[in-house]
Amino acid sequence: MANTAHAVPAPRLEVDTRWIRIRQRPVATLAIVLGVLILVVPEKTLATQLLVFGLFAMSFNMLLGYAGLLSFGHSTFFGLGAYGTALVLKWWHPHVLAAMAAGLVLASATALVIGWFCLRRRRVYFSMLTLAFNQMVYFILFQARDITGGDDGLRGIPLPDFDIPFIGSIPIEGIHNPLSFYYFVLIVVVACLLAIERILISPFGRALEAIRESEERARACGYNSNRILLLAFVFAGLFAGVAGALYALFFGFIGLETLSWVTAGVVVMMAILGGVGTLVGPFVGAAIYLVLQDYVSKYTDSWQLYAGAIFVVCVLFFPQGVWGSLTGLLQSRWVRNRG
Amino acid sequence: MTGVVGGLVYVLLALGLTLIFGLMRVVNFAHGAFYMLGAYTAVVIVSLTGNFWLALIMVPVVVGLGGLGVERGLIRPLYARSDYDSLLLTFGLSFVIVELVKLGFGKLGQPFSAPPALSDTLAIGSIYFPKYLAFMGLAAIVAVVALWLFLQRTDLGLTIRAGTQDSIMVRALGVDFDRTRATVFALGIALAGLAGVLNAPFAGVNPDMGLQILIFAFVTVVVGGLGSYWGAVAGGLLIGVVYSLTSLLFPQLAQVAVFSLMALVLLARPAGLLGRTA
Amino acid sequence: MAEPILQTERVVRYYGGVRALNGVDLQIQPGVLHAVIGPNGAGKSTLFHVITGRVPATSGRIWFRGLDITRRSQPVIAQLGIARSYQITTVFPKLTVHENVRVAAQARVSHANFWQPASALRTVSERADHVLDMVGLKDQRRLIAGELSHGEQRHLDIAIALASDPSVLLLDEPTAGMSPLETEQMMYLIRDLGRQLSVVLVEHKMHVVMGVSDRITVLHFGSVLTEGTPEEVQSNRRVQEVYLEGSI
Repeated sequence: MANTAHAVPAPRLEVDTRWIRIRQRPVATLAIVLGVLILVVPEKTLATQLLVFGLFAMSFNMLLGYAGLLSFGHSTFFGLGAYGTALVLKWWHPHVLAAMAAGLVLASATALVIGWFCLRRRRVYFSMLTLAFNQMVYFILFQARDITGGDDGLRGIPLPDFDIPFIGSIPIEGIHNPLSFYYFVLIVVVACLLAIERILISPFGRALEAIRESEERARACGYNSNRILLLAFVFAGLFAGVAGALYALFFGFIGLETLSWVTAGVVVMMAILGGVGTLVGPFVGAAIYLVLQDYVSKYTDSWQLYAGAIFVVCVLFFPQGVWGSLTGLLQSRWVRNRG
Repeated sequence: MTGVVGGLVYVLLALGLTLIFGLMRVVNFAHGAFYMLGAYTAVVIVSLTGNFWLALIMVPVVVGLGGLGVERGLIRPLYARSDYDSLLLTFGLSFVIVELVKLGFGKLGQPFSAPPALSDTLAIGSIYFPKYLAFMGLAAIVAVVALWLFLQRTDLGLTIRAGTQDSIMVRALGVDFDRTRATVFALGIALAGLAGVLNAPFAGVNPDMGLQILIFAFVTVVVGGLGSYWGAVAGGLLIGVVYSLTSLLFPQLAQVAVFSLMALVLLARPAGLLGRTA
Repeated sequence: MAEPILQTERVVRYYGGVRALNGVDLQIQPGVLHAVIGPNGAGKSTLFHVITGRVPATSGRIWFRGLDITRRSQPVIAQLGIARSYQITTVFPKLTVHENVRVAAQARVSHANFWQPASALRTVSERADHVLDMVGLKDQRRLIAGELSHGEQRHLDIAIALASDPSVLLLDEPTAGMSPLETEQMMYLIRDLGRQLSVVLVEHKMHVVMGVSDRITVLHFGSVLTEGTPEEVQSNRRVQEVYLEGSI
């Protein structure tokens, strides 16, 4: 079949292999950048928050950027991961990883149930449903004061040292050992990112993207879209749960705001600000939001107003987000230069 | 009784949401924020004039005009883009509106009471209930019926109904579709504002009231069927009654009961009780 | 006469109050290129929707290789080996041309595999390359699908359907919106495909239908008007009446 290209073909958007090769090491790049971050940044807490919320935003990105699902209730799984971990630590004092696993399992199991319901619909209906279920879980936890502490939050979470069998234990408790806590969180986050990356480049991940592009066509090819989307929802809930578990280890207390609609909204903002569809975007978005929160709140109580306004501007003019717009700019310049 | 009237508030909100979505395919996340604005505008008007009735009339107009501005500046650019974009934008907008109100009026609520003429109770047989509640219910019913008549009997209403079915056709017929959309949006917002001022003496006035009721408005449209007029009505009444009854009998389970109802409807009829398939 | 590979039996489909399909009997023999024609609104696309499971039949039955697929879901039917192309081009816009076809080819091979990189599935990628070659899009493999020209996208649409190595291929107006030259080229492709698999073709352009088909079914208001070889259909009086243009 003849390629009807003539003397001067119009420039077409080609996928530049060199660019992809560079971009194919996002996790390594991130790991390095984040690895030295704590050493250069004065606010240790902020850096650690960046790790936790970056992971949280990345889990959200799995849903929006890769599956094409906009969830307004993703904080449900973040909060459940936090409460699961915190309660297990309080009741049974197990190894830190065991407690985190409990939080993770709670978050994932709930994601399975909630996801099943919400995926009865798509698009904006789906979004409304995720919000409604988030509120449902919030109110259930609110009522269960005896377990969760309700409005007052959960206090006195014991933060044990990290036990390595046969070697000893490392204190990772955040308040007195900010550096070792940071690196503990970093290791967990990088491990999660590697797992997420692996999932997204797998046949499952590719099928997910096809469904995002055209669910009808993907089904016509033979993909059971409901099942695949549900699995994606569970994965997203799982990693949000891990982020929540890490959050619980932070200060020794957590509150219901971890599952609130505000937190759900915050993660949406972070992901959109940074740029969906990439591995680095969510971290950029989290950084922007957290820095805004930290610095602007020193001057005014309504820093959220500015965050919201910036978000609105972003939706209107920079739907690719900061990182997305940046890389888009660089990529097109790269392609153009190749002639 | 309280349930029905409470439900009517959800109906007003759900109708606004449904209208806006039906014609413009926009899910207005800021709907609750405008409801809240309606209540606050009433507070301002009453504090300036002392007249509740004036507020009742002016609030929908003022808020509706605000809605016009929002549609013009923020929503119109997004029509060509995906449905998620307008949802995200209105979400961001709701944040901004709530924060602005907190800035202007503080985080705690404002007091707002019913006009003196309606402050006492009515007796029907041996049942007593607040006069204001009865008035509220009546006003809401009038609004619902008036809106229905408007859609069915007027030219603009016909255009709106046609546009909900087939916007391309309507545009082809030479109708100024931009103006229709702007009008519908303003109308939906005005309804939200009306709900806000009507419910203010009953439910109070505070900056977060918008989000709380938005959730229930969303549940209403999911249960009733987004895009269906009477679905919004039926859904709202059903939710109102369920919430009210469980609040009486099992107060701790009231919210869960409403969400469970939603889950049930999702199981049995994903498109909503009266909805067309998405 | 051999067993038909695909068969519909008195299939009815309502859309609101309208009978889009009014008791359609269709038999597709293996290896045959069978066209379905009829004036607009005759129900041709609906027939494809029902066969592929996109919408359920109101009544009637559908058989594929002796298996009753009437109530099966769309993904299951695709897995069994029926693929279709679309009248309104439906591709995966933000993926590359190669990925469009590769992910389609992957569907019958791997499902919930989320631990291996997709690039490890060599046979799938090779199949994609082979199909792209067949439809003539080899040089465009690295382009983003949404950026292709209309004609190229129509070819990609068909490539996606071919990717999964189907036994029956349903082509829904493949030459829609194409220039005479592009249509000529598409006819070559269709004939080529007809030699390799069983093809059901819905088309408007009569010269295309007459040029490639082995058998033709004529639909009118959702019912079968007649069926036969191109010559038989061409000389059928009722068919000529129904087609007012008389451009057969």
